[in-house]
Amino acid sequence: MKNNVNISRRSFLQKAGKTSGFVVLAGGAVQLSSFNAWAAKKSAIDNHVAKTMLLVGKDMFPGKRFTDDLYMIAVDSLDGKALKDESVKSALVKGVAEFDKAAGGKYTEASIKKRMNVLKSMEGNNFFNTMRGEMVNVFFNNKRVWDVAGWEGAAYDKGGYYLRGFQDADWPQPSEEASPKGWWE
Amino acid sequence: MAKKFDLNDDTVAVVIGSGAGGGTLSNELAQKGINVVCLEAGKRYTTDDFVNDEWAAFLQTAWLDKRTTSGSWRVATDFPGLPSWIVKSVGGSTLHWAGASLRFQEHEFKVKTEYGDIAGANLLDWPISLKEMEPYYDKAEDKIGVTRTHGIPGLPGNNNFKVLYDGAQKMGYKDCHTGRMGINSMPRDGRNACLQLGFCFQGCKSGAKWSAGYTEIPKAEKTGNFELRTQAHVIQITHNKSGKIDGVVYVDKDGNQQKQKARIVAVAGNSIETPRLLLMSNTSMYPDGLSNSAGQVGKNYMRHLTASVYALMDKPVNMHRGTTMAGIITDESRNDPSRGFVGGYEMETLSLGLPFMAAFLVPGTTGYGPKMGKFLDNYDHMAGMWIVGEDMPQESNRVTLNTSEKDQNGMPVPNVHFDDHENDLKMRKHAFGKGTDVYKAAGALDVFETPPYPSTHNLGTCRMSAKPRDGVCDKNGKSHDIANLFISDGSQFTTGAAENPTLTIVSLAIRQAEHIAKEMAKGTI
Repeated sequence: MKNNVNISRRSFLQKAGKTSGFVVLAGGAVQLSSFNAWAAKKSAIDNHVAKTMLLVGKDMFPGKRFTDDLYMIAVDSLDGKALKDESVKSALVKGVAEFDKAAGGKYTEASIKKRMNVLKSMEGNNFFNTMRGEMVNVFFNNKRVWDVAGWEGAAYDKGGYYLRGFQDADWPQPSEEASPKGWWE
Repeated sequence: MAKKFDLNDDTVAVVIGSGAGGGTLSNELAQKGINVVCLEAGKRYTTDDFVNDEWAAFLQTAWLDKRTTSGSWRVATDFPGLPSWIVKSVGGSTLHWAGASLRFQEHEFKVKTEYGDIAGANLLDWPISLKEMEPYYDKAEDKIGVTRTHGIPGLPGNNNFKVLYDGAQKMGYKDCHTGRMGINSMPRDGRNACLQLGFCFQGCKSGAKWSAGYTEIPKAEKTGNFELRTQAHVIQITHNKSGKIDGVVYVDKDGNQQKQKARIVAVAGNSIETPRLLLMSNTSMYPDGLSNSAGQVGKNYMRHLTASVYALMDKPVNMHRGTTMAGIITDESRNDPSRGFVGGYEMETLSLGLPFMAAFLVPGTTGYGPKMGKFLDNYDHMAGMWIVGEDMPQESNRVTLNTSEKDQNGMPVPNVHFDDHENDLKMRKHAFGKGTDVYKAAGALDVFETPPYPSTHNLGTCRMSAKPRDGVCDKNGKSHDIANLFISDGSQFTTGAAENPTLTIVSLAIRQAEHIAKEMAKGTI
């Protein structure tokens, strides 16, 4: 897949379409299908920058239940900011170049061990902070992510949890003295 | 009903702040027939305005005015502009509090006597004892409607509590239950019973949690003796030629300065704003600020030990369902120096939603990686507790004016300096160990030892003392220097104790109102 990196998004998509939509890069971690929605939109950043961002976000907060489509939430969000602000775009491009340099080639093609070392060495770096900030503030504030991780969001409009499983965890029921019955019981 | 007082009315008591201290004091004074003008920097929100959304609620209600930090505490690195997580709104931080309503233990009012000399700690006995406080604790518990007091049943424990309780039983802890909470387990005082919403920190939409904004303030308004002015940010307390307080200057919602005359002024702006205001009110007569002849204003800032333990359990927990603080283990709150430190700590369940968990589980630039990813990916398997312990007062931990930075009103911003005391570090290490043991006993696969959040328990910066040279105010919260100036919030705390502070702040406010009414009747103030 190495020669995909510098090709246009259109041909990138065409190639991606020829696969089963599930391609593992040399670095081992990005699903090309995740790019479809993103690539169909107007974008400020190229594939390489986007792919690297996706993998950085994923390496920062890897989760078995988080698909690449979800990680694209952070990429999409930053891409949107880059479209409106040239300085954001250039910072992203610069940051990815720094990560590539630290990886001794391309971050997306480095081993997981190498990538974790790159992240460690980049703590506090601008691009690092941008990516971490976007993951914390945007990715983890997204309802699609909540649904996967099991946080149920707003409760008042559903009447709270007093009749919806606030005591359903599979642990022994405490004594009544420690945990009295509810007002509705 | 809603009374209006003239700016030139110099018979009114001006209360600055409408939270646990200011809101309670305002209502108590108004109930006694005293005219009160309460100046609140924030806006007024009703339960309808509260939102079940962590970031939105934070931006709606948090005190986000510019502040700076210094010292070796990790908050200064991870949240340099946000030393505290408190509220700018009518009701103050009672909008945000989780509801834990614990009395201090007897020894915690006399720690200098009990703990002896601790190097680097500026310990002092309170000028009040538990015995003197008991009747006021009783009144405060009745006012708040604290569960397990006054015949009010305890709350039912949620999933997070079930895990804590199981761990506590297996650890052999004796005192684990759903706590004494300022949350209605039954409808009471015109407020609903708890619906187990799980957004206690964001303003309780059901109104089950006591909050001064919708309990004390409307009750005060009904008396006809009370006026609340919102978005009224006090920037100076003024005095006359004889040195007595004669009013305050505030910036109103339109950005205009107003001067309200006053018979007395009570300051309850939380422990960062209260000393800041006294320091900003310096004049040629009081060059170091008001009530600062002993040089104690702003010193001995305490923020409780605090730490959290979050566990990844082997089965789904769904800790977010139900009250944020659903139960407590009190066994470690005793003073037992054989553990290697003085004082003690409480373990209280705590849950954050996924957005805040991502921000706080491991704050700052090291907050990433496979373990953090695994926890957040399995949010529904997480359980958590908060550790609240007594931290040592230190003179060097203090709130000062940072004159090189200005706020939106052009006033110097507060700088909050904090270093952990060795006793704090030892206690936190012990608490992390015990918290981890609790969850391991209940089946945890892994745990995170989470460092302190921006401070919610800000205490001690205008402490009460028997001798004027040791503090800022006396046992009634009255300034040692100025007879008609009162400190009415957690700034008064001589030391911090292991318990969440709100109940004690409310109790002190009830007690102070009695004192003020008595002195006013005598004509001494």
